[in-house]
This record gives sequence, structure tokens and C-alpha cells, in this order.
Amino acid sequence: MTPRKTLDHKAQAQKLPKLPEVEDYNDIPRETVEQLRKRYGHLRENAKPVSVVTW
Amino acid sequence: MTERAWPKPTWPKAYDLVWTRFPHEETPHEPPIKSRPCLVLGVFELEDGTALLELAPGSSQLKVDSRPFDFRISNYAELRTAGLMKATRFDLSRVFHLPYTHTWFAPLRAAGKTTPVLGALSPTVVYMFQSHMAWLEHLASDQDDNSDQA
Repeated sequence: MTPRKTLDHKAQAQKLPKLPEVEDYNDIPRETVEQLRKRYGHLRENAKPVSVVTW
Repeated sequence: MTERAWPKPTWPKAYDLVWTRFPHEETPHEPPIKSRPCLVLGVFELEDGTALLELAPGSSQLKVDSRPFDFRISNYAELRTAGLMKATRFDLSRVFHLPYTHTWFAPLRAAGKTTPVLGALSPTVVYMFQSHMAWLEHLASDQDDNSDQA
């Protein structure tokens, strides 16, 4: 059997594009979500689906 | 709607990631100032021809132990495809709707984007997400069955 080649992780990682740096984004407070639901949730009632997840 | 809407050619699709501007925690009625990625669960057209998005908010606090039912992306290649910058947990208990307007969505200029769409889940991650949702549904039906018997 041919031995598997090993990857030089450190060297190869330096060649990969860096992900853009952004600040941490913490959990949204439940109160904020509730405010948004009250403000916009009713719009869903008469809206026409264009693209939705399925499972 | 008085907020300036993003035009139809820029609308995201289900399974896309969008850069969403959020109100500050202490001033929810003020204009939004803090941004984060959200997973698009649905896109709906309103009567005025603008879009309404159904979203699961992203958090960089992964909380693997305390939030086992949320959905996470952490693999480098998958983060790149999705346009995410950090390993991210999507909170499936805090799904909400927002109009697709400039008030709530902005391009992530640091990533060279010109619309709020960051990227999309790969087919592999879509499959993982669908399996995850089916698992949650199964748990919920078990929960209902058990409460009926109690």
C-alpha cells in the first residue's frame, strides 16, 4: 500500500486566504427579538413565498 | 413602506447568509448599529413588491454544551463558501422577520461585498441543516407524544 502523503499544516495554512476580520457577534437578547417580532411579524400573513428552506 | 428597499435582483435565497444590522441591546428603537450574519430561512414578497426575510440570527458564541439544538458552521471551507468570518451558531429559537431594506441590511465592505448577501450554504451543509431540522421535528413529536401520555 502506498503511504498517505502528510500535509504540512503550518505552511499550507499560510497560503489560504484570510477570512475578513469582524468583531465578535454575541447572542441577540430575547427582548430585541420580541420587539422585532411585534414590529414586523404580522407582515408575513399576506406575503407570498418566493424561496423557503425545506426538510 | 418608507424604508428604502433592496431591489429584487439583489434578493437572497433560502440558505443564503446575509449581513444584518441590529439595534443596540439597550436602545432597540434607535437606528441599528451593530451587524451580524443571519441565515435566510425564507424570502417572501410583500404586496408593495418588496421583500420580507425570515431569519435565524448568528452568534459567534458557539455554546456547544448549553445550546445543543442550534445549528453551527465551523469548518474553514464551509465558512468561506457561506461568506462567514467566524465559526457561527444560528439560534433556531429566535427566528424572526425583517423587511429587506437598507435600514436592516448592508453589504460587508470589508469582504468586498456590494449587496448584503455574504454567501450560501454548500449542498453538503444544506443537507446537514435539513437533517438537523428533521431531528428537531422528531424530538418535538416525541415530546408531544410523551406529554399526551402523562
